[in-house]
This record gives sequence, structure tokens and C-alpha cells, in this order.
Amino acid sequence: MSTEEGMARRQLPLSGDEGFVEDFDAFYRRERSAVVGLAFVLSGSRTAADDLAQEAFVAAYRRWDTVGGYDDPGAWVRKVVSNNSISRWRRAKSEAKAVLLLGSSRDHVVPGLSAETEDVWRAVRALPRRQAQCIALHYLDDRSVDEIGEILGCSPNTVKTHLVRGREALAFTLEGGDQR
Amino acid sequence: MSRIDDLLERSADEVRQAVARMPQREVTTVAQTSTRKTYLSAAVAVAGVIVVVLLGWALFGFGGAEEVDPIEPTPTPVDPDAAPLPAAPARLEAGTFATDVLGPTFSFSVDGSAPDTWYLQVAAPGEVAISHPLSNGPGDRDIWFGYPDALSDPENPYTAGWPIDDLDGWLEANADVVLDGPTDSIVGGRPAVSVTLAGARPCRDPEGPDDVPCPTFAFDDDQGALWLVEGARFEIWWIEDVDGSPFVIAAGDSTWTDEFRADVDAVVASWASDQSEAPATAPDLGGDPDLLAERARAAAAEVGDPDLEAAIEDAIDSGLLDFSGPPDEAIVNLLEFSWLLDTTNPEPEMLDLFLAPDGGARTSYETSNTFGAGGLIVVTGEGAYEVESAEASAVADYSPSIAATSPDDAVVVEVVVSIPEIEVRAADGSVVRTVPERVSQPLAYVLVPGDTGWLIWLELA
Repeated sequence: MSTEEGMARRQLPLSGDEGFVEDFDAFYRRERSAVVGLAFVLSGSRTAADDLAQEAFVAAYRRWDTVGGYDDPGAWVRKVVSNNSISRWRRAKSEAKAVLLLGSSRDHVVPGLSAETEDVWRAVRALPRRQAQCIALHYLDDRSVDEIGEILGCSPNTVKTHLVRGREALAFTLEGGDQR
Repeated sequence: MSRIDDLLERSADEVRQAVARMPQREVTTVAQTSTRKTYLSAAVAVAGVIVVVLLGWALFGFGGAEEVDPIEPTPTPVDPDAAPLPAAPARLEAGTFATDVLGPTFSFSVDGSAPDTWYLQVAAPGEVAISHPLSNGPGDRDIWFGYPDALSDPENPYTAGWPIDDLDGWLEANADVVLDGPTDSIVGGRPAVSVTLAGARPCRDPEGPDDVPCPTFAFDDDQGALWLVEGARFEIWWIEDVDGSPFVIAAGDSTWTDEFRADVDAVVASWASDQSEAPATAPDLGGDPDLLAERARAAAAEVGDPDLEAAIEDAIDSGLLDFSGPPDEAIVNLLEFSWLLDTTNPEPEMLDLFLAPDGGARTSYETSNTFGAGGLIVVTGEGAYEVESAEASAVADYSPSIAATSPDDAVVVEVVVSIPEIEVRAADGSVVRTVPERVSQPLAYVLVPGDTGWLIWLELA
């Protein structure tokens, strides 16, 4: 959906209006955990995940009059997180601080994860960028192939291909090649 | 559900539950962040950058590399006992590893034993990257190896606009990101320059909202740019003239510690590269689309088939007529051209068109669109194999036929590709999967002699 369509569909309160803040607040509270999870599996760092999610939510907040009108503003935030999380050329997004004046723990580890799970997501992060994004969005965020295509800006067939290849590569890495 | 599906689902559940238990940042803080505060923060950051730059200028200067005693460099060859770099991702137990995935073989050594080992993130054409044992993932204490294609344009940092052979000029033009150096050094017995780059101002991903351009350093055609976002720090070793191009080792990114620095120095000190056998030179493919069209028309006229001539005109009009391009840039479905391996007509030199990368040793094609779930199939003169994960049986059975031959050796070839089966095998020889029979639509090509052989083709089908 285009920005114009989204804005036309919905009468948005002005920035600063009480309803506007509550609207975003509810969105943030609903989506925050899932977005942090996505950022974590893609970045491999709890701190980076918090920063990436925060950065994406701040970006959404700043243009909430537009983003809030989208059918799925969560997809927009996930797109920002996905784009910022992984790079083949080491983008150092984990230190690309949002402009927030927030304290943050320097812990990188998410407590409670098994070694197997750490290995799984580490292997996912080692996949080509699009494959890793598709795997994370599909398995962690329960996004459909069509939704992932919308988020990443590619066709459903491309998403399917990335998922198949990603699974094959993970099977090879984690299970010695047999994905059955 | 497959085991890998099940594993991913379980791992996803675990992450969801763990993240849900993590303390949340206060949403009210996010909502109350003001643009004014943003500008104030940015102003403070800019002031800090200015101070750092002035200090850097005063302490180090940026006029060029610092002088060191002259050393006659002698390239250090790769240790013949080095182990092949394993397929990524993989843990790297202590030892010396060698790979030719980027071109000429290079090697490096790492220390550490499980579980505190370096971790191979990627080893593929374009880049090799390893993570320090203390790394928390990509971007955190990494070492990257590669051949960049260009430096970034200082005026437009998301484009490659600065010549690769003018590092000094680029550093002068980007003094705000130069934290230390450049310093002449020797790496692997070769002349090198080391420099520390650091991102010092807030910036954003151009793919995201609120684009505030980040400084970037070098570009690689396949991988993008090395970014210098705020807080990022890279130690760069710019090794001159490895296979005719600069070879770059970039270490660091988001986290720097003394332990990491010491380990990086050890890895860099161990780096060695073989001399390239010979510079890879792409055969002359003509390069003139008008000439190609002219020759194709002439070839069709010589064949004397009105339908063929009409097809060629249609192809020219619709842009189907094209050069394959220099072999190192061409993506050609070798599986559809493998009949060349079995034919003696046209000339064997035609193989150069398809097998020229890496000195004629390799080319590749993404087969996913033709084989469904697939990988990167590489076809060589000795057979086919799937890189990174498995080895396939030799490609079987093609059905080419020479439809017509012109008096001047232009050839029209009709091809039906029939591949009964490809067994994709793991390294231990076991069959991972079988690609079912695939029969292509009839394809027709006009092959026209080029200056160095049969190097021009036209796809008509």
C-alpha cells in the first residue's frame, strides 16, 4: 500500500494529540517483544537488538502519521530492523545508537537460551542476508511468504526460494546435510 | 515437518519466551523524545567530532603515510601444510587455514580451542569473514578479508566514486573518519598501509527512514560498502598489489578490546598469499553491440533462412541480442551450454567464453529458477558440482544439433537440454537429493566468430 492510500484511509490525530500518543504506545507495547526478538536473532546481540528495535520504533514514531496508517505498521518496523540488522560488510549497526537518551545494559546475551538455540540462530546469521531475514521472519515472527515478500520488497516466489535454500544450508550446517 | 523445521520452530519459541522475559525500555521515553533533543544531541556529537578531528590533525596529520625504515618486501607464500578453510559457518580450531575462494590462495592462522574458537562466518566469492571468540555476532569483533573494487565517493558516500588506487587521497578527503595512520607496514611480506577508521557521527541506513548518510569506506561489487556508523571502528590493512588489486583486511566494527586487538594482530601477522599464476585476462568479446548486430545479420543472411533473419531482427529490436560479457562478469547457464563440452564443432575455444573465470577453471550459474530448490551449480570441463554443500554427478545427456552452418563459419545451433537426473552428493558421497528430469524448451543460438574465437552468441528462442 502506498503512503497516500494509507493516509487517505484513516483520519489521523495530530502529533502531540493524546490519542496519537496512545495509538503509538499501544502499537509499541504490542509489537515490541516480537521486534526485539527479530532483531536479536538477526544481530546476535541483546544490546544490539534493543538498539535496533528502539531505532526502528523511534523512526516509526516520527512518521507515525504515515506509518500508523499502514495496514500493517509492524511490517514497516520489521523492514527497518531487517535492513539494519545484517550486512555482509559489517555495518556495525549494533553501535548505531538511536538518538534516544536512554541507558542501556551492555549485556549481549539473552538469558535462558540453550546452546542449541544459540547455534541455530548463529547459523541463520551466517546465511546470506536475504535467506537469514526470510528464515527469521518466517519462523520467529510467523510471517507468511506473502507478508515476508511485502516486508522485504521481493516476490513470494523469491521468498520461497530463500526459505528453501536457507533450510537446506541450515540442514547441512546443523545436521550434516540431511534435512528430512 | 522436517527436522530442520522442527529445530527452527523450537529455537524460535525459545527466543520468543526469552525475549518476553527481558526488561522493556520505557515506551514513554521513546514517545517523548523530541526533535529538538535530537538536534541538540547531533550538535554535541558534531562538536565532539570537530575536537577529535583537530586533535587527530595536530597529533598525526593526514598528509600521507608515516615514514618507516625501508624494507624490501618479499611475499610470504602460503604454508603448504595449511588446512583448507572449511565450509562456512564453522568453528575454527587453532591452526592455519588456506582458501582460494577470493582468488589467489591466502592463509591465516588462529588460536583458540573449543568452545573459545574463532568462528568462520562466511567464505564465499567476494568475502571471507571470521568472528573473534568473544564476538556476539556479525559486526562485533570481526575480521574481514576481501578485494574491494572501489573507494566511496566522499561527496556521495553510498556510491563508489573514488579510484581504488588512491587511498592516500581518499584518506585526506575523509579526514573526519581517520582515527590513526596511515602507517606504512608489511603484511605477508608485501607492502601495506594500516589505518584506523572510526565513525564519529550519528547516521542512518539509506534503506531505512530518516536517512542521514553514513560515511563509507570501500565498496565491493557483490557485498556493498563498509560502513562507518557512529561508534564503529575498523583497523584496516591495505595490502598493495595482491593479484593486481589491493587486498584488504578489516578488523573491528562495533567492539574493541585489548584482547581482540592482540588477537587481530596475530591473525594479520600470519596472513600470507600466493602469487597469482598470471593476471586473469578476459578474452576480447568484441564489445561493440552494433558490430554484434551487424555480424549476426550477416550470419543469418549467409544461412539464407528468411525466418532466421526475421528472428534475428526481432531479437535485436527487443534487446535479446547481447554479448555474454567479459567472462568474469557473465552469468551464463552452463547447464544449457554444456553441449559445448561434447562437440567439436564449433571450435573448442568457445569454452573460453564459459569457463574463463579463474583462468578458465570455473564459472557458475544460479540454478534455482530451473531446478526449483537448488544451489549454486558449477560446471567445469571435468564435471559439475554444487558449491558449498554438496557435489553433483556429472551433467548428463544434452541434445544439441547444428541447424545450419554459414559459409563463414557462423553456426546456428538448436539445443534441447535434457538432464535425466542430477544426484547431489554430500562430501562423504551420500546422495543428499536427486534433481528430477528436466527438458528445456528448444533453444536456438547463432554463434558468430569473434576476434579471438567463437565468442559471440545470440539467443533466439
